[in-house]
Amino acid sequence: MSMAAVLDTAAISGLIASMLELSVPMAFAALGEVLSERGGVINLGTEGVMLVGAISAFSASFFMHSNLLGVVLGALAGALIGLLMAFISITLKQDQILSGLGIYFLGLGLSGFLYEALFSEIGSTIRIEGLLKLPIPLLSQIPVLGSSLFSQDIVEYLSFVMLVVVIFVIGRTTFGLRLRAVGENPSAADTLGVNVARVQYLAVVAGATLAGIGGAYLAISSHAFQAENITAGRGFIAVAMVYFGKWRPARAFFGTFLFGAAYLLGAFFQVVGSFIPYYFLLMIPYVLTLAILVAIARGARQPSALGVPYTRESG
Amino acid sequence: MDALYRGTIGTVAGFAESIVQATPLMLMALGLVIAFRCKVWNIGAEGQQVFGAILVTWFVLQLLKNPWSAYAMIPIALVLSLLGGAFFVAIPAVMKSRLGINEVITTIMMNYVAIDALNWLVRGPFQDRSIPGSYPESPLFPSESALPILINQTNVTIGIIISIALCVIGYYILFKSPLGYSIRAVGLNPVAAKTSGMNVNLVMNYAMILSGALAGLGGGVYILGVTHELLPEQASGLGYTAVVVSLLGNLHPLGVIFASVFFGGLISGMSSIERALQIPRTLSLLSQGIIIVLILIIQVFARYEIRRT
Repeated sequence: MSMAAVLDTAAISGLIASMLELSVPMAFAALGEVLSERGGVINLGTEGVMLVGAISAFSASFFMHSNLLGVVLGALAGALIGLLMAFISITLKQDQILSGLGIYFLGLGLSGFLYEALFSEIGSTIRIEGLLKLPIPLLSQIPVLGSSLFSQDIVEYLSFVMLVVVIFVIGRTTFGLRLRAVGENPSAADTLGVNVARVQYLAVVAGATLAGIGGAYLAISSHAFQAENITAGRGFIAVAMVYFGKWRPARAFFGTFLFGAAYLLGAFFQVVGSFIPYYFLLMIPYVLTLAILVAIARGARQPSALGVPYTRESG
Repeated sequence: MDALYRGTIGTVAGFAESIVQATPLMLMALGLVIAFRCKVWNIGAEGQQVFGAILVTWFVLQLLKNPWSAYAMIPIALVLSLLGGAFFVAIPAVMKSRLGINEVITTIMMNYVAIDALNWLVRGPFQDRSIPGSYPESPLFPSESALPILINQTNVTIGIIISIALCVIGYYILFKSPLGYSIRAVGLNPVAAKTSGMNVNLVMNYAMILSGALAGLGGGVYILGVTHELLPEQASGLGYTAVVVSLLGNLHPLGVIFASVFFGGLISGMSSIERALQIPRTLSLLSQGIIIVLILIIQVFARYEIRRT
């Protein structure tokens, strides 16, 4: 094997690893959004949930020097904000879009405020270590894929585990059956004795927990924190990927890899230097989202009761 | 509390600053009221106002050396800001009405595109190159393009008159005109509106375009009345605050007048508290988040109260 070929495989493997790292936050959020939307609740607050997960995780990692604790706290914070989303949209039956916007604004405000309150005194070197890479024995020896796919950190592995779990839960469990029934026809589900509100609460909170982990991973894998808006639209991109994935977990999950690649492309040109101005590179993910939404429009059938608060008919 | 008081209503300067901040908010929130009443969730006021300001800057920079008279420049600049906002919302509007694509996602994506474009322009084509090593900002606009001052020794311009007048006109359009009737009908029940012969998609487009145009005008009033140059801070989040303002104004054009003065006071008051007490700058961001969530919760209970009596 020539020297050039070795370099190439190392480079390719590095690119795949970076793409995965950039995709995982959105992949978690997209999985969570699938859960929520299959139960009939659009959570447009995903971006806000991710932000809260991110600041919780970053603070825990920085002050308590434990990234894993950070991830756990990020998940919990996500769940808590998800509970608020569920309360407003399910119990109070407030418009789901408005509820989601409220959660987005709350998350934006909370993360910006907490960051400034906790870190503004500390100064310039606010950095945390990333998570340890855990190569899988034997598999990590495979060329190219070994040092990318099989040498990830625990949260990246967890994302694939969660993908399988979500597919299994939606497709193969009683809860999944109820979830889909509630998302398609809540009054029929209600008639059959399904507690619509409870199923939706579970879906929204579980979904927000996943988005919280996504935000946590974003903060930890970035090593640093931008005071405002570290997610920069990733939560909304995750929601768009649910449309792209036609409400199927795997398609939504792998759809986010496209954006991992898009962010990587931007970063690549930034390093290599190109005739394209830096700020145009920053636009790539957003323009790509718009383009994808146009390309897939009208292609899929959404859960019938998506976005409609369920009220039991009286009398 | 003393700082908040001095920064808002305690002094003439403080109150004037509240009005200055309220002016663009009022226009943007008025637009959002029209859109939200039609249940089209235009969250892109930020991008639309930035694009309006970009068009204004382009126009003013053409005439930097030989400015026209204020009577020509200001109206043209304001109309351009309006068109800029309308154009920028047209993309998500068509995506919504033709293809049924969720407008929340598209308008937010457009916001990011506008902010990146703004940051590029103030460091590129629009940057003031007269001083070496200059800041990311456009050259200062000529005085002919500045909105006339209404109250001496303050920054209160005729912008506030335009804003209040448009809110009143907005009220008549929304509640007394056939278009406003259609907008509200589509918002309340699109199926019924369609059955009764309304072109639902067209009405949604009108509501979106109107809201974008008003947001663009808000951006124009801000740059021509407050900053007089294009700065990265043009995208400081006014368009997002406008969402909260429109809800606090109970989605009513006249309510928006009071809600935006309240928020203008909050913004200018917060900045003076922050100076006085050294509390985080992001407190106003947090308070906006809390306010919007409280509004959503209280709205439901208010509705419940009415139904019960």
